[in-house]
Amino acid sequence: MPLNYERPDSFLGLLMGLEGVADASTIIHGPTGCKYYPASLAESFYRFRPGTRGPAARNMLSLPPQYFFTQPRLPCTYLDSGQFVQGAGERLKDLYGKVEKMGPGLIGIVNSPGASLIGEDLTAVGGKIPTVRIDHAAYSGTAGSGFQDAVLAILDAIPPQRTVAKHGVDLVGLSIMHLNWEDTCAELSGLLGRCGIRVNRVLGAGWSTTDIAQSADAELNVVVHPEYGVRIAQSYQERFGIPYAVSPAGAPLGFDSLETWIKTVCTAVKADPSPALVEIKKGRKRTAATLSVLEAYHLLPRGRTFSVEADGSTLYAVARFLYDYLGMIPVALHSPEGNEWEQRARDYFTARHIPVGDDPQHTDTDFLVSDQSLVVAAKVRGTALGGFAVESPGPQLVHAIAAPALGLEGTLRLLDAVLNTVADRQRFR
Amino acid sequence: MARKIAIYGKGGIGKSTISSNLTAALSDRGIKVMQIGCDPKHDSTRALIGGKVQQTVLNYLRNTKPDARRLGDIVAVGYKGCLCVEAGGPEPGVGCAGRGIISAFELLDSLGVGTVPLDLTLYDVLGDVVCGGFAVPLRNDNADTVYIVTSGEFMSIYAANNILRGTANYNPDRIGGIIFNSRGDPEEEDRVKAFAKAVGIPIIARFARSNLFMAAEKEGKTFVELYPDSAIADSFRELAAAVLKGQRYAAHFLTEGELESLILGRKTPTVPLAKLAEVQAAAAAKQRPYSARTTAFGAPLNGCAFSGACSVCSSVSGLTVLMHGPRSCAEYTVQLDANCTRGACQRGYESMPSFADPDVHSTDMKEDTMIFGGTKPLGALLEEQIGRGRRDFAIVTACPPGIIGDDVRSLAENTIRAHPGVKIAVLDEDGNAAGDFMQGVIDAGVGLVRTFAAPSAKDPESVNLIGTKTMSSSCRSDVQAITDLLTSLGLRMNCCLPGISSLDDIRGITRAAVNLKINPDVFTDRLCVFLHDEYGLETLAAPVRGGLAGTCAWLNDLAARFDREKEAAALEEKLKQQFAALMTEPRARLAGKTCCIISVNRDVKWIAETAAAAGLRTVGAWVENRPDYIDGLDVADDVPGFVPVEPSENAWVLQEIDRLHPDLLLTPVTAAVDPHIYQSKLPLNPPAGPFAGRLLAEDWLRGMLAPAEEGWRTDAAEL
Repeated sequence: MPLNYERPDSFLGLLMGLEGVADASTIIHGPTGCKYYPASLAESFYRFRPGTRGPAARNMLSLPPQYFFTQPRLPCTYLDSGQFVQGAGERLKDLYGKVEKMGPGLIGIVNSPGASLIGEDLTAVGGKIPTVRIDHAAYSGTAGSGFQDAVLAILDAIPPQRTVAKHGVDLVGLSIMHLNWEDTCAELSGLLGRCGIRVNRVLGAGWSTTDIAQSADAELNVVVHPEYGVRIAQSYQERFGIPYAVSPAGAPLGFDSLETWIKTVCTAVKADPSPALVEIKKGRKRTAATLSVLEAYHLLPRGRTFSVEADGSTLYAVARFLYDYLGMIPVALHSPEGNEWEQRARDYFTARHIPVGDDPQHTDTDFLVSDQSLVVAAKVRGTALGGFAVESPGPQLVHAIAAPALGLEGTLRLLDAVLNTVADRQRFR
Repeated sequence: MARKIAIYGKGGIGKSTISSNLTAALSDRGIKVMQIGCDPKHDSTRALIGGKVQQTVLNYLRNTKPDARRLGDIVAVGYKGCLCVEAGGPEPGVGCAGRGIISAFELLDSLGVGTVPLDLTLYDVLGDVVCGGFAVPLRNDNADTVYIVTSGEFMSIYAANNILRGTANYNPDRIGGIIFNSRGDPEEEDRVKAFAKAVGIPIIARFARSNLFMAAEKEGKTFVELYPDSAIADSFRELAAAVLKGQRYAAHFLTEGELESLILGRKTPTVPLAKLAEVQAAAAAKQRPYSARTTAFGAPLNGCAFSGACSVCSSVSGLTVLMHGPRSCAEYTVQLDANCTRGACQRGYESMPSFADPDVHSTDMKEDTMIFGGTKPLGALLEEQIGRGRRDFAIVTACPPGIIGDDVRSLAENTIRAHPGVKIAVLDEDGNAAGDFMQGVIDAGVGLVRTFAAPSAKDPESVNLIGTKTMSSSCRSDVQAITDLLTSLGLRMNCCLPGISSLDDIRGITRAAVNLKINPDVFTDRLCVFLHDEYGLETLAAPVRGGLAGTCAWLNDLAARFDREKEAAALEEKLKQQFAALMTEPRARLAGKTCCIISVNRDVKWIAETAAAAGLRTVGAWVENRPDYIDGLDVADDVPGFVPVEPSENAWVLQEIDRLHPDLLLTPVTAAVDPHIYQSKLPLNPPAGPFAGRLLAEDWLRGMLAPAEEGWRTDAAEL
């Protein structure tokens, strides 16, 4: 049966939504057990973040022992059974004071599930710095819902200033949880830039408190992953009259999906998509040439199998690309988030009489598209010959070379992984 | 601006009667009131709606999909247009009523209750301030004025005092007054007056006991509606006028001693009661016998027992693990397994097959299960897995089931009775209530053996390996290295505990002749004590430690137990020769170089041994004095020259290193010292095997060939 517990849930999505503000600090009012993992993620999701460089930035010899527990992000109040009975308001006040002195632009406070059950009152702390207080996160929900809850709460704490002069677009539906989000942002911004469209910022990922205050100045919000962004985009539309664009083809990954995404945005802002489409065409030709060579060696991926375990908009785009463009056959698809996209993909393949299972992790396949943990696990189990991480965690700790997960470069990276796997692991060689 | 008031008082004191009559009196004056009953017995507004029972907010929350929820479904229109809401609550004995109040408020807020045109909202809140949930109406943005209902009975006044104390925790200047609801005791008014005077809060209304209240209740009406011309109805109208006037006072409260002296006229004795020896003994017998707590009381817990227990259980093949908690708890734990697999693969170690395909399931606790109790969904998950043919389970509990008091043990017992052959190890860790990560590891080891171990015939030449660190990516490789050495002495590995082994191995754990600790940690020791206490299994004195000396020590101890001294001596000689040969090159290139060592682990002998064998001159060595779970290892005695330091001395240590300026710094974390000093990373967990340090020396050799300063530092200076 599909196992979803490797994937971030709403609590983690919420924390990462708060950590998406580059100059914010987030406090977990809860035990250390609720802190270690998200704190390590919050560190790893930024390529560069102020205060994370140099020998003193991250080690137990220099970090304050209390509250931080050798990690620079997400200090916590280390509640135990005593505090669950008595409450820990004083400890929270003390930590809040310490974080306040560090001078962030925004402070987020999140009750752990246990703290929210005992009804800890977060309004008891606060000061001059805008503060987001999450009494209780939605339990056992999806990461996208938690992420959007956080961004909407941030907008309440720092209301964007209304502005008449609109310019550029903002990306929305991309979080710091998304694999190599900074590179993806640069890649998508570059493609839109070719069409004369400036990307101001990403709503929810790497934005500053200044960005938040100015975020009502875009002429359009462009949704990248709908399951992470539509509610935010709708809020901007309702509150500030900013329209938003959602591509009908899912995430911008794969040539066709990417072209659809570009055209959707350009249509909305009345820009010419041709310059970006020309670039994509170059990628298509380069790929076609590569496939022609593989054809000569009888190494085409056509007829080979694939599975996808990913968020819905990504799953849909990948599945369509691998089937439509490469002729590969889906054997299992599963999407813990954005199920309507998975259903669309299933409908598409059902109409073509292709049986598709729902357990990519336990279905034999040539190629698994997911995150690196699941890809490695499938390879260890022997259910996949190879795979590609399109979601976090990725295969590498850091990247010197840009490695966008989406866009033209993201598509070519996916293609490289597919082609090298199927070419190198032929059954009859 | 609409007013918001809260009526508090001890359970059963008549708050709902006072509240509903107050609402009726206000409604008579044309005031638009919404009364919200915050009591699980959900009868606060019944007299306002003709004695009918209405849909509670929490039942609605449980039974209605989010997109179908409407405010109108949970708001009844009552006497003269007043609006009536009942929060409701879980069944008695399950779930969390306080959490229910929080959820009810949140649902009302999300459904737009704040936008309903009202003059006044009245919260009728259960009894004492018993937990944060029932204190929600006290919070600043919920009630601008708090009224306290009390009789002259001591416990009622005691509750009133607690409510003042609770209000003082928020904004204290919000007490509207005391409402005296008489029980008929002729002396009680004096007690209430004395209390009111002592806390500086006036009595703003008095209600005498009357059988007509019961008569009104039978009619399903308020007193004000049924007997509008009575004196009591006049009193309610006066109370309504006082409420509308809105006079407020600061909340002062009495200490328990002051209260007892004032109301009962006695002084509370402060002399402690004599301790009964038999009571003391019984209490000691209930304490957790195998505890990892090495930290001071109140010190931070490192991780949670839930996660530790789950990490062990998910490493045992053949065991189905049910994680009872929110999905984030399951996710955090499964991520540890996934990281371990990924780390092992990337670092060239053998990975744990069960981690790559863990048989784990989470109850995914949501809002409703936290309010109404989580044993039903847990039971359903258990039945589902039994239906799939699973027979052997571990159930591990996270914080929420512990806080709301889910009775998992009874569920497990009932399930076992209903399904012969099913075995369930209940690990009620309750998140970190049982302790830290390491406590969970111990509990899992103990719980799995107690549940699954079966009497077995002895295998006189087999050994249990106790103390596996399942989260270490080198875990399996280390176990393999130890097993190879056992084999060379003609012995067999029987079972690993707490993790890695299959459930069948755990069933046969008592087969072994003896236990071998595979590290010197506290948790290993506790598991060995447990195996001795309950199964009579002896443990060898010397634990497995990395490095040549450490390896020879445990090999010799093992050999003495099994009469294999001759084989062990030959093996030791062979290992020494191999080690000398392996260190020849490092010694040739490193002899005379200087080094400093920082360790956060007291097991440092293998490092010192390798440094010495490489000819390094150690000019400074420090061990951070922190609770690292090493059992009884005195570093100064074990490895002379190492200085224990407190975390507060770290800055001084770094200054010392800069002053000594060694060629090499061996450290587990990057130290902020002169970058010209080559920093070689030490693992946090010492590896097993006689040549564990040789890999370190490889890095030292490379470090001495590296340039004094890398080119990137010039670029970094411009960042």
